Amino acid sequence: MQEACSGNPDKIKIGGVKMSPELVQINLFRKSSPDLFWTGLFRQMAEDRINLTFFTQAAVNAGFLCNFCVLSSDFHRVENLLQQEDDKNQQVRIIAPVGTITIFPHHHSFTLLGCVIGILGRARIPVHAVCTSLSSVAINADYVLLDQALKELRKVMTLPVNHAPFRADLDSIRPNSYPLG
Amino acid sequence: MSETAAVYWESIIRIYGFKELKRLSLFSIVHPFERAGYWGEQIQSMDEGSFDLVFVQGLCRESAQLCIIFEEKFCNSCRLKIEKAVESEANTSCTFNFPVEVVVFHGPHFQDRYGIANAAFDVLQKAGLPVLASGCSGTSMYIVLPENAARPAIESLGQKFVVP
Repeated sequence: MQEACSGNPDKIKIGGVKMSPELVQINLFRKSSPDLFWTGLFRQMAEDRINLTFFTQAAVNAGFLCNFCVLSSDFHRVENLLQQEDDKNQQVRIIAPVGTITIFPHHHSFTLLGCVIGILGRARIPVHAVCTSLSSVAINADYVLLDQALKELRKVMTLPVNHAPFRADLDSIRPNSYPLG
Repeated sequence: MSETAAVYWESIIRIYGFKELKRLSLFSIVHPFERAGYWGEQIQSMDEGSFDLVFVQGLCRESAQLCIIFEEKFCNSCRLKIEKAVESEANTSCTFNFPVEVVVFHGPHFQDRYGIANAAFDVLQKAGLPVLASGCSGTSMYIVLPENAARPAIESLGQKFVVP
């Protein structure tokens, strides 16, 4: 697999790729803060029925950092919540629009993961965030560059011949179609 | 072809199960944003190991944080490679934490449903459990905790998450 990234014609076989709709990535950083400092914001987002499509957090530089994504259509409500917080100790960075490319399966392989990050880096496609899950790796890049990112990835990866469309045609999202407790 | 995003709320959230991982290594590397390609190559060179969780997050316009969590058996070889790779880089720092524990769980349509992360972090915060790192994408949640904290975390998460 490693050779596929360094020019060998043998490409990495993967099961599939999915591309998200337009998202907004929000990066929050707070120095000298307790961990989980964002829980107040997340509580309000849950009350407002706003889904997080992506989330990472860790301690860094004597503070805590978290990155999360929401659908572009939900962003104005998140922006309102952030403005209400008006926390001077909190640095907020908004990246919009972004999209998530999900590649599966990763087989917990450093080779595949490194190849993905490396090829996008060499192609100068900014990777705003990455997170692995049980079987897939999700990569956030500028939404307008998603097709270019996929083109770069396809130079080293082979997809199944009968692959489904990369962008799901979402039937509908109906928050009230199920009982809400 | 169309897909349906299932959006619903449960007072007790059904999951497929908890997994508890122990004696893991957590590396955090802060590097210039434009060095992502270099770090991709370094990750690729650790091909003798395998990861449990990897994430990258944007710290500011200029820098990013790369977190890598893997098993103890890969620690020596991977640690040497990472520390060597950090040494040759400008404006790059690395911290290492061992042992850490991870709680992993996943559930139906987690990628489309609101309130999942809130439910998890709310109970962990109320229980006073320190969370070192987390990564949630797709339908999975990974929560990284200090040694001996995974079991109490699962007990706390049991207030909100259930395996039917």
